[in-house]
Amino acid sequence: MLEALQIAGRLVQYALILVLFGASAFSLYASAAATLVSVRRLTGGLAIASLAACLIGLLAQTGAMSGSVTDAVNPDMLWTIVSATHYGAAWTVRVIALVLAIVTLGLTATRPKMASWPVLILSGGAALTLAWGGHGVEGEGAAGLVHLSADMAHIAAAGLWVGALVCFSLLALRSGVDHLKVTASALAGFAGQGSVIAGVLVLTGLINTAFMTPPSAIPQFLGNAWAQVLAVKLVLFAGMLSLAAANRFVLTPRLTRSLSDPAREAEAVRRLRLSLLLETALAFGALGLVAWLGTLHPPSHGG
Amino acid sequence: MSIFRTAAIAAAVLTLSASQAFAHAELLSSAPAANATVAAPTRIVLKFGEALEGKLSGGEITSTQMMMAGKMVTHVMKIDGVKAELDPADHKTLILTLMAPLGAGTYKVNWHAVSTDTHREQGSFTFTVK
Repeated sequence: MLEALQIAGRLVQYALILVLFGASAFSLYASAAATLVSVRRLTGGLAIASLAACLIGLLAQTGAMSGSVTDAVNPDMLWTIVSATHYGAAWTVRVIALVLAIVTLGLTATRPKMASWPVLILSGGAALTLAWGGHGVEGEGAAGLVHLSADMAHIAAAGLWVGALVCFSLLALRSGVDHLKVTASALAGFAGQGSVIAGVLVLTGLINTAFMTPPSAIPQFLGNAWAQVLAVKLVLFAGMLSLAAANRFVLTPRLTRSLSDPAREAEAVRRLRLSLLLETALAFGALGLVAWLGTLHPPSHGG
Repeated sequence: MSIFRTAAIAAAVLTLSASQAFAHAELLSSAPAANATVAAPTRIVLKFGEALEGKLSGGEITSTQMMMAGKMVTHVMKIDGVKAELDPADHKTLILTLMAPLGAGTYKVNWHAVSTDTHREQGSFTFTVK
């Protein structure tokens, strides 16, 4: 039960904070589209929800680390986790970053543009601290630094992708020709970034896997829960890549062409919506598997 | 596809350079070792596969048999005053310090360890003091 709570706590934090980071970036690189779907209001809500998720996540994590449900609400034990563990240090930085992001959004209500960069940096900082909760902290020395950096780049790229998906889905769900023009141009504008993000995810994913399990342990993958969950995650990732490619090479060009032809427009929008929503669902599925992976053990020995 | 080739090469290089610390908080060895017979120890040293959180790791020592009047008799008793600390020079090593050397008998160590990446592991082993 403790483990299930720990996974749920991690999933909710991953999902909220990564979307917060990705949506903050979206409001900078696609500001016209971001204004249309009130990304600012979205980031405000996400920042508050993320902070709440951190507080609940700490309880679940404390229960799992101390091995007792009652310790999850024991103030002494909570203080020990916050003040004396690596997880607690990362958690404290995350909470401070989120509080500052909420304060920044509150103070800039009349001048929203001023908040963009600070909120991006603060939510990015909060997202990077998630690497401390997983396998990224295991290594030592220079190798450990490479692993941690790869883990952080992986988290940042994942955040940019899932945040963009949520914003594009919101955009596509609205109708109106003006809106479609903005949607089509924002989607076309994302094509290059999308490819870089996918490349970074593949590269850092390979590095992280290499750090966590030696090649000699590959024969053990079939019977290992960590490897099985990772395999399912890779299937979801492949599905996301296929949908992203369909969006970029088929659906977005079709939407752009259909803008002058109302008869074809409805069909193009319907397909784009379906594809974006499916890709978003796969992304959240992958995040859930990541939250689970962090509590499983990679095979560590060959033979 | 050059990105995939670069990735494959990077992964291979990193795999070669990163041979340590794949395991979770796994007990690699202990002194006294499991099932060993030793002279009265004043501390028990547990070596793990990765760095631990000192405040959340520790162990209990319980006697299962004790030498009484020249005979081993069943005698289950928790040993009081055991202090658990990480080795300051090596956070992968947990040291259980006893108030006094253990008397002749058999003992069970129930340890728990939380690694810095938040995983909790526990286990036990027994040893004999002659």
